[in-house]
Amino acid sequence: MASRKLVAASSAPILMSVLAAGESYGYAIISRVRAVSGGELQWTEGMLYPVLHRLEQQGLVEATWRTAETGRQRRYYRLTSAGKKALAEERAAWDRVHDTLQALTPEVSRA
Amino acid sequence: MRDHEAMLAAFAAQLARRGLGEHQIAELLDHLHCSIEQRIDAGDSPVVATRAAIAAVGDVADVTREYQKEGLMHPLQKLLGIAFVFLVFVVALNLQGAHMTVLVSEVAVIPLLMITGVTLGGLVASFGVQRTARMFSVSVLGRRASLDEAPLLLQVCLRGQRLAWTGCVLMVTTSAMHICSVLDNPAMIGPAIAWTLIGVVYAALIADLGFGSAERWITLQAA
Repeated sequence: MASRKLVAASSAPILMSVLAAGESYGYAIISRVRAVSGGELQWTEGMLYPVLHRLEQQGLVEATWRTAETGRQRRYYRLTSAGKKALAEERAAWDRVHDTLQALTPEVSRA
Repeated sequence: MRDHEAMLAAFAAQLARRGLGEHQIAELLDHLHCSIEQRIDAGDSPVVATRAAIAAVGDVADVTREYQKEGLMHPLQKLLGIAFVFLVFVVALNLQGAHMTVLVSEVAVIPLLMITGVTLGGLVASFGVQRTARMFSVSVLGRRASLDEAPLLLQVCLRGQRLAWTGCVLMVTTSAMHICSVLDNPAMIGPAIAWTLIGVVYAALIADLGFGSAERWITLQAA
């Protein structure tokens, strides 16, 4: 299970990655992350929305209220072009961390 | 109203009491409805499903704290607010017939120097130059505080608040002694009282708008 700090640090790039596949809303985003991570990434669900709102304030996602098929009002989020660029940069940074860890792991195992 | 609807209404009321807006609550309620529907489909009763869905959203205090970061103001904007308060103060003085130069006169500068001197001196004596400077760089320039250093920076803020008021008490005491020494000269009493009053205003600005704002900024950043 990922630590709370790691979950917090990875929340923005993960949210943007889900939205890169297309428009979505909060509950669907959480369900998608839970399914893909096999339950390894456990978010406190209420924490997701402030992160989405901050991404919106930064211009990385945009949101619209629409009526869902249930008849309830629902807020849908979509990645902006600035968001796509930011996601590419985040992915590159995470890849570098991953590659470094991978490269160092054999040394740690031998030690 | 059915039990699970009453639970949702109570949850929404808790969020509203903690300052969440109508749209923020509506979004969380839509989330809860989705979660409840899925749990009911999986076989839970409405009440059990609602209880579990609310628990999954998280502690109300934690969630609202996370939302408060949305409205988090950059310290430079906060300084703009302080400048505005100062401007209102100047205008009020002018309307009362006092000239604004009173704020840069010896009467006003001495208490300011006393309070800032006690505060900064006390902080440096307690935490050292580096940690004091770090607190200012985080809270004034908006640098990001790491989770590890946040508790220490908060201590610096709280000590700064207390020291500002300590400086105020020293300044008021000094001023009172000065007033006592000039009782036979009424022309000297007015400026001495003005010194005291302006000093209290400076202490309030430094302690609450200054260190209080810095404390809130660091707390919310680190939360």
